[in-house]
Amino acid sequence: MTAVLRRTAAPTTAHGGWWAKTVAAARYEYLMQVRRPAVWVVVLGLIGLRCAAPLPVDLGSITDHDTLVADWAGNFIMLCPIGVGAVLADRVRREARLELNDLLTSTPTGVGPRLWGKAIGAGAATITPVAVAWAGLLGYLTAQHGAGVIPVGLAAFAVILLPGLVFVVAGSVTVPYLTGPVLYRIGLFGYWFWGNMVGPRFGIPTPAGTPFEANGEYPSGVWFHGFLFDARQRGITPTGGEAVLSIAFLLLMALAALVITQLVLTRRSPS
Amino acid sequence: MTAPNVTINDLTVTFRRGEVRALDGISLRLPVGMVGLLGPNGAGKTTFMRVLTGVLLPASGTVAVDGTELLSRSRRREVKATIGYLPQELGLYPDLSAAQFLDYMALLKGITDRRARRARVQEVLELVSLSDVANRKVKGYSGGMKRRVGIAQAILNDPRLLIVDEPTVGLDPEERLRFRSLLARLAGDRTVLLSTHIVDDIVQTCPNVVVIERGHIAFQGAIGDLATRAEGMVWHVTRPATAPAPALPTVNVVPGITGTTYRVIGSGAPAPDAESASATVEDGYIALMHDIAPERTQQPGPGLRAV
Repeated sequence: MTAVLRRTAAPTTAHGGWWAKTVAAARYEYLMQVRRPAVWVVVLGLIGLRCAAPLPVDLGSITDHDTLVADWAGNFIMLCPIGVGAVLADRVRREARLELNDLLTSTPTGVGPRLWGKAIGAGAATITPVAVAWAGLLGYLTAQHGAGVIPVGLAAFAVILLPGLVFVVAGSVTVPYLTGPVLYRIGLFGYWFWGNMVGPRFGIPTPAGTPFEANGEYPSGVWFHGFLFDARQRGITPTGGEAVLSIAFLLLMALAALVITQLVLTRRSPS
Repeated sequence: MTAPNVTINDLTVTFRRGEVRALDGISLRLPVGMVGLLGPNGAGKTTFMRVLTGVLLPASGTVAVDGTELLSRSRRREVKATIGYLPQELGLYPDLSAAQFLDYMALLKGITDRRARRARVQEVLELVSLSDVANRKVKGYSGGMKRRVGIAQAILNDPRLLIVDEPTVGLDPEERLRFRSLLARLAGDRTVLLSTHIVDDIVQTCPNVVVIERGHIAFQGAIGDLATRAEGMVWHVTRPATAPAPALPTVNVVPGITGTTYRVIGSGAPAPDAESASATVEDGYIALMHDIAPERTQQPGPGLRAV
């Protein structure tokens, strides 16, 4: 400690750089989350568990690229969002646990960039194992069926897998502020089975088979000729508009959760 | 850059819906340079610092920086950009390196220009002697190294007001001395508010001191004036080793061949054989805490004025 502090850089205004701060928060949240072994073990474990179990459709007999990719996407998203939510839920109170709240609140940056940075960065990190597994699957399918699988696979990832995962990510970085991580995980597990897997055949009111389910059944069925399980049980043949509605619903719900949480936290915070 | 004019007026902070008054009508003006903040556990020192840094809002009273009260969120943010804070409970992201953590903190403090930020991070890392291990994850750092990361983040934005809460807790003696001298050098033309239980840290570095007790200002003034409060009330009393200790506030106990010598504070000689001793700051502090000083009035010192 021999140097003398030289004044080289005056900070920019406290209000400026909202995006720069959000991007920085996202970058560091990504780095911290993607290094966690639990993220990889839990998410890949659930994907593996589902893919190792008997599948409702014999994927080996499908030759049409769209249907093949869509049904694989259906298998991916059947369980892994539960894992994504579970390993994200403890991020919310991490700063309090690490006794970082005072330090962060003492900076001129408000709650917004940190919340959005956490959602984008930690969310992207938690989805990374899904993306890696999907890329691996596409490599395998390309070897078997040719390179035509790749664009179909990328599109399927964007419209079947991603909206539901974004929806779960947003819930997992907001709802635990209210419930705590443990209760949230239990609730997410219950919601996912009730809202996406317990179809109308059980006689229980559920979003399964409607545009408001989160497992991408509508985009899968409409654009990729994927297997329509719950929708068919309701006697519905989804349209393109309903598939768009399904995606829009998930993304808007995610946006609403984050905006409401930001407003509440900002109101509570002195910064 | 000049040190800020920080004025605290009738500041009150309550917890549990008003049942607990952590700070009760504190008024003072912080002078330039190093100011020591002393007080027993639970006196309100950390609460006071959290209010100054904008982490906690007061129930009533005001904090004004350069004449502007921190009433609005935007004003608080402006002032936060000029403050550095090292909290007592220092948390760090264990999976980030010191360089990454400081880069992140620099951005949150508003240094958005990448080149300026990198230069600044490098500069503060050199200042706290962590350049060599800057890319190691923080979770592998010793307590002293983590504290140095803490002070590095506090000075990233070249703060006019630096607030450090118990910075030397858990440090070995050599590390403590290095830390102390670093803070003294940083003081320069800024205000450094240093809270500590270690009276010697304040004696060695702070020309002015504020003592908080049970949410009130018990003393504010020059460090020498705190020692003066106990002048004529410090005694050395020697007792046989088996005899009970004097029933007076005791500053220290030294066992010897002829018996045990107690350094005690009392308004009169506690025994016929008691020897008078010259008072230190620690004696003054103990006298103040036990209300032994002849008069318990605020004694403003040079450069530290009561508001």
